[in-house]
Formats: sequence, structure tokens, C-alpha cells
Amino acid sequence: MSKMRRTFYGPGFAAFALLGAACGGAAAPSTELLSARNAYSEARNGEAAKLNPTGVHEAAESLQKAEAVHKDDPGSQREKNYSYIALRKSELAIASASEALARQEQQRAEETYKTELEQKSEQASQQSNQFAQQLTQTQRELQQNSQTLQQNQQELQAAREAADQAQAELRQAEAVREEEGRMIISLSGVLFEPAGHTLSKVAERRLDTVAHALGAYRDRQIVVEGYTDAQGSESKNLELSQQRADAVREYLEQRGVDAEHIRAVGKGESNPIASNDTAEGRATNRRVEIVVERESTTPSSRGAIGSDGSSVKSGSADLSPSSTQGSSRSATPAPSSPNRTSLPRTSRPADEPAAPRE
Amino acid sequence: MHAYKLWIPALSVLAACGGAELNQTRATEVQAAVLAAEQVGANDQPKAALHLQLAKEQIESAKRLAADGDQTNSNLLLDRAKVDAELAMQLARTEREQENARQAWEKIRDLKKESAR
Repeated sequence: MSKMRRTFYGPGFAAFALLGAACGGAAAPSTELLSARNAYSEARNGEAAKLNPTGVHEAAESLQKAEAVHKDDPGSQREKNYSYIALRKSELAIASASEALARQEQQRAEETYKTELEQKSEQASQQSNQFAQQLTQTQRELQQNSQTLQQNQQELQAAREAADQAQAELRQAEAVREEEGRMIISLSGVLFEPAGHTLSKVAERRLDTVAHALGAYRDRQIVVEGYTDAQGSESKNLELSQQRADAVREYLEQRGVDAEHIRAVGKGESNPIASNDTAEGRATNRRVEIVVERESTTPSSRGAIGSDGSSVKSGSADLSPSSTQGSSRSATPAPSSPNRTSLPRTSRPADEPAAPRE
Repeated sequence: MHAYKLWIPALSVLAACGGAELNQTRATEVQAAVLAAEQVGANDQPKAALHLQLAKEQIESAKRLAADGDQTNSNLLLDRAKVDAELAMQLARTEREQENARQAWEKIRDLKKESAR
């Protein structure tokens, strides 16, 4: 409807105005009429035509009246008055369209504001979720770390208790001493069959306890040292002590001691800890010592001959067969001295059953 | 239909009491338009205030012409006054809406500034 009106009053009215001007002949339009025509033209060609067609229509009607009066009574006060009203009607139409435009602009701004707010809110929400996830993750990790720490502490405590218990068991069952940070477990008495190197049942039970205790020292190097009394030939004794040390090593390996951390050394009749002149002394000297080395030390500080018979370290003079037959043998036993003194040997063959033997 | 036209009956009574020769119907409509323009704040905006002032002056002129017996020109002046009052009101409303739109965009700029911080 409004489009029809614009169509009717737009070009139609322009033709009417031109016709009026032409017919007016000499009578020129008043300044007011010219202003009214210009204002109407602006209204009709501007936003007002779209946004306020009714207002533009009213302006057109007013201008038609002014043009009619101009035709009938050119230059009159009536023409000026109607032109004035027509001018204001056009201005009114334009101002009204501007109001509608401003309202649209405001609406657009409010929608934009709402969108911006929603986006901002969405971003804040995402950020908040991200922080919450990070917090949850951190809390989870913290909890895991705490659990791990607690577990480690429990394991450490358990290991300490196991070590303490193992040591207590050992101290109860066997002679245990410490030398320069090394723990030495000395097993004497009947361990092997006479003149042989097969472990007795009793010895196996004792070694079970030792193996259990050694579980607390998995990171340490262990040396099994075999000793004989001074009866028999020295070379035989050395060979026998090596066989016995190997037997103990093998048994301990079977009981869980890491083969990488254990080796056996035969020491023959060296380092006696009692007199070889008495049966009791010889029995004491026939022994196996299990040495648990200090932490982070090489397993050679005591010097030894390896299980393959070769010399592992020759720094200690009393380890080689020749040194064991030296003249410094004493009848005085030195059971716990780190630098144990060699004791005198007898001429009896190795493990000859002159004294209580295994 | 403008809202001020609802006030016309009351204003007609007031105008009638004045005892003037003015066309009462037209005078009432003009007075209502003037009141409406004032209510939307036409006095506070220069352009609107100018048209409001013109309307008032033309009412006074119309009264004088009516008193002189020139009813025709008096009526024409009342018509002019009315359209000036209507324009004053429209200009005031337009200005107010434009100010609202400016503030709305200002709010968006502030929000964007805040977000960029």
C-alpha cells in the first residue's frame, strides 16, 4: 500500500509540480515554495521514503496544496503559508525516518552487545572449564604422587624391617661380625660330608636363613670364602676350600641370591681363627665365611682367588698358598681381628679325620 | 494518531473559557502538540526548541489575527504552529533515539576494551 502511494505521489507529483511551474507563466514560486519542493525531494529520495512512507505521503499532499495555491494565487500569503506547512511536513517525515533509523541502529547495537557478551561468557566458561580440568589433573597427579610416596615409604620401611629382621635372625643363628663396614657371616661346625664338598642337610637349613637375610642386601657384592684346617697338603686344602665355597655359592644362588653379585673364593688353610693343634681349633678353622661387601665397593678388597682358581687380587699376602705356609704362624687364635694372623699348621693330610670333621 | 490528541477535549474546555475568537478545535490541537513536544524534552534540544518557540509565537499571532477578525489567516497560522510543534516533538524524539544508539555502541566499545585487557 505504501509502495503504491510512493509510486503515485512520487513521479506523479513531480510532473504535477513541473506542470504547475510551466503554467504559472511569469509568476515565480515563492522562496517558501522552493524550500518546500527541495525538502520534499529530499524526503522522497532519502531513507524517509522507505522508513516513513506515510509521512512522505502527507508531505506530498501538503506540497500539492501549496502548488495549487501557487497556481491560483501566485506569490500570495496563502501560498507562503501552505508552502511553510509543506516544508515542515517534509522535515517531519525526514526526522521521523531518522528516529526509526536510530532505533534500528540501537537495536543492532544491542544485538551486537548481546552477541559479544555471549561470546565473552562462552570464552570465560571455556577458560573456566580448562582451569577446572587442569586443577583436577593436578590434584590427581598430586594424589598419585602422594600415594607413590607413601608406597615408597612403606616399601622402604618394610625393607628396613626385613633387613633388621634378617640381621637379627642371622645374629641369632650364626656368628656375624663387622669389619670396616663389611658384614661377615661365619659358618663353622659340620657343614660338609667328611673330606667332601656336599652340603649337609643341617648346613642347607642354616644357609636358608643366610639366603633370606641376604635378600636385604641385593645391591651388595657377596664373597663366599672357604677355609680348611691345616691338616693335609696345602694344595689339596686350597682345592677343597674352593669346592666348598662353590657349593655354598651355588646353594645361595638356588635360594635367590643374584649370581651377578656373588662369587666364591677358596682360601685353603689360610687365616686360621683357632689353633690347628687341637680338635676344637681345627673344627673352628674349617669354616665358610660369607662376606657382604660395603655399598659401592669392588668385591676384591680382601683379596682372593676366583672360583675358577685364578688369583682375583694378589694384594693380600696371606691369600696365596705360599703365603699361607709362611713362618709367621702363631698358635694364638685371632678370631675377630681384621688382620688375622696365620696359625701354625700340622703335617696331617687335608681333612684327615684326626679331629672332628664334617 | 499522536498521543497528544487524547488531551484535546480537556484543552478545548480551557480554550473556550478564554473567550477568544480563535478556532477552538485547531487551537486545542496546537496546544496539545506543544505540550507533547515539551514533555519529550523539546526545550532541551536547540533545534527542537526553535520550532517549539516558533509554534508558540505563531499561536500568539493567530490569536491577534482572530481578534482582528482575520479568521482565515489565523487558522493558517494555527496550522503552521501545529506543524512546528509536531516537528519539535519529532526532533526531540529523534535526538533521544540517536543518543540511545550512540550509547549502545559506546557500551560495545567499552566491552571490547575490557575484553582486550
